[in-house]
Amino acid sequence: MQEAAEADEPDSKDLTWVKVPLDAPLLLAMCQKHHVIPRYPVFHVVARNREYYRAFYEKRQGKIVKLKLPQGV
Amino acid sequence: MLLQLRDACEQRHIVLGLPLYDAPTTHVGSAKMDRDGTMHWPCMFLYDEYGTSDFVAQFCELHTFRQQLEVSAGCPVRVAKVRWVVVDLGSWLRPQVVLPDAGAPAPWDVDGAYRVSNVDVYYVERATQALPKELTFLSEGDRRLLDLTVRRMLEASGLWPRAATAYLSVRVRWCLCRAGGCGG
Repeated sequence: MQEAAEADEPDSKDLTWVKVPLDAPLLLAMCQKHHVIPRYPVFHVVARNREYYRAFYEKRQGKIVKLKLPQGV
Repeated sequence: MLLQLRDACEQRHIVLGLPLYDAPTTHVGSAKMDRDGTMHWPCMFLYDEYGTSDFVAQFCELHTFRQQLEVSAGCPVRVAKVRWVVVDLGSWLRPQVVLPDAGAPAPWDVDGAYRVSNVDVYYVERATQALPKELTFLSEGDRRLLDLTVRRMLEASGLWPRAATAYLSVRVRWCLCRAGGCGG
């Protein structure tokens, strides 16, 4: 499965990945400044505590940011 | 209605761009707006580890990812009734929970790791090229014009034919379906 993480399209290496809290509404993720929706929203889902997850994170070190929920949500 | 959707996206600061992935074109449709002015979007969840995906026909913009991914019993009836998922991007549909926290895992999840309580969700910034507002939510006739416009835009930005492959693939399938070629 680790190969899968490394076999991503080459152009993706410089892109910023945004981690969306599960308690965020879809709208919050869609209206973010640099989120360009490819006709319909597309989200990547990764399970934690797995070899693939570690490879995923290592490969994107410094390229992952967290989307913050507004206060009171 | 198309203008309403465009305006709604503008009000929400939602930017639409070129498609990235093939999807069941008969069901991609576009966003819909209910009587309350709430938008419902088709949405794709990619499971890169297994090279598979779920396509959700309608995801209410006010619902959280947890609501969408977990047991549908917790969702309002309005959405639960229309929440259909296409598995493996085939042409058949069936209602199902996306990532149940209990019970049987998704068929492809051989280790049972993909539970809503154990997953992270990501999107990629600037994953595709943004389209001008006028080129979103098009009628059938206008879509033909879009083909030409997109090609010129991609050529000008040096992205043709690389980025065009996905776009044209979706368009060809859409035309075939319109002609009755896929039974859609």
